Amino acid sequence: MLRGLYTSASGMLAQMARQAIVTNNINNATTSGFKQELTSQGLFWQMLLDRVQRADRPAADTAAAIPIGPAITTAGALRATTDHTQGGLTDTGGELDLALTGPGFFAVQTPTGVQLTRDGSFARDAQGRLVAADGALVLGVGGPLTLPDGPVAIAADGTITVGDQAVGQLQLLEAPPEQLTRAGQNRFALLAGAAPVPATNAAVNQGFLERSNVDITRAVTDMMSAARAYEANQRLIQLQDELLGKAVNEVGRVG
Amino acid sequence: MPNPVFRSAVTGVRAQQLALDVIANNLANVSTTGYKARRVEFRDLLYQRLRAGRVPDPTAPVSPAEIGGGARADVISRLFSQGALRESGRVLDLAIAGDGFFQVRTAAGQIAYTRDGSLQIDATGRLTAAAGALIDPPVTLPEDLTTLRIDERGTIYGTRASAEGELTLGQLQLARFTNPGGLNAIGENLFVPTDNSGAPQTGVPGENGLGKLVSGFLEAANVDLGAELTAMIQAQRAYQLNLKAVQTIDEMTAQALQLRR
Repeated sequence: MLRGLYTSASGMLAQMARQAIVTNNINNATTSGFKQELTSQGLFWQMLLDRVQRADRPAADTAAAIPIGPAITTAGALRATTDHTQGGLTDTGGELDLALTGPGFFAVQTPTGVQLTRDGSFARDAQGRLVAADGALVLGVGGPLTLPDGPVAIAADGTITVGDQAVGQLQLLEAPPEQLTRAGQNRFALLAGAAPVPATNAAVNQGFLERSNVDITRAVTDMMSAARAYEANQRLIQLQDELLGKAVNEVGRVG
Repeated sequence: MPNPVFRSAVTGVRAQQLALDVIANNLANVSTTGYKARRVEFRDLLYQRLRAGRVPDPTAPVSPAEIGGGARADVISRLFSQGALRESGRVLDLAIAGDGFFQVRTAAGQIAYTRDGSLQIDATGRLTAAAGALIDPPVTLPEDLTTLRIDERGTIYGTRASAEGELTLGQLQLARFTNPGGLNAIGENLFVPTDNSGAPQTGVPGENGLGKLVSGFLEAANVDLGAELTAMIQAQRAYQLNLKAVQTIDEMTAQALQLRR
């Protein structure tokens, strides 16, 4: 009975976490280059429960935890994957608005290293360098790109021409989803050991931005289902509480 | 409310509110001479990686969930694309066909830039632009003008009652910026440079990448009415949707509070 309480409580936590992910998708339904995060449900893993750590052992010492045994919980078992499918293109007409079609990312230089993005709303900074909205340098094949004044033409392979002058080529990279982690600012950071390779099937579209690939219908249904599952778990806790109350107070009562 | 999900849900509502404000401002300025449309760009916020639970089977696939902090409307960029030229017939109405701004000095003495070329002559014969700001460097026209014309290179010609033939009366300059999107709007159709825009590069119209002047025309706003109305509908719906998320999380929190009646 008590384990059932824990299972239901962990169900509530898992549904709240799921709701957080769905909400983030909804928040970013209009964010350029955003890729929705899909949660998986239905797989409830058997988790190992550990007894509270012994006070005389350091917290990081996993051997110090004494296992209690398996229990069915769902909170730690919430899984999510990023849906990297193509978003639709919006015609913005901006000279430095770039959208990618096909798998791949633009590479930008940030203080914490190279990050990847599908949000190609770039600009020139005061020095004429090609930058993302927060001023991070957009990388070309040989490093940051500086654009002289003049009309910019960008070919599908990322080759940049200003007037008649070839300026460089955008660095387009590809990395498997499990090597990426979300970094905010519409970017993905590379996890340790990640080895991005040049993207071979990505094409640059000048004057377009890639829309968020959030599926609104799915997001709303997921939101409803998470809320209802949360409610169901809450009812189960109340029910078990009542049953426990009966067991404690009424079993064995005479008269 | 300490629930972080609640807070992140509200970020989406706020971002869409800003988007609606910007669209409303674009629509309000659809007939403002030389107005440049603005655009909101959204960014996702930082993520928190959920620790994957301990699973008895170590070969089980692990893809930890990442919980996002919502969205924010981050940058409002101005689109400096050319607006349509509308004929006005006034000699002192100047449209810039191409890149560049008129440089003006405001009444407060500040140097500012504008694409609104509906010039006026003030009481002392000086040329002024939007909001009464003086054209910089100043151009003074004589009082007894009989004709006036301005060519595409910004040279002002005129004939005077007191003199024979056509005289050259002054020269207009334009200024351009490496990143006009970085200019700061101060109202009255005026912009001031920032670290982001770079320093102004002044010159004669039609040279060094500067646009030419077209006398007798004004540049209409570059607001695309159809696109703005579509964006407005989209922002309204997104606003509603974000509110729905806030409401749902509120209901879930209420249920948690009902656990112990």
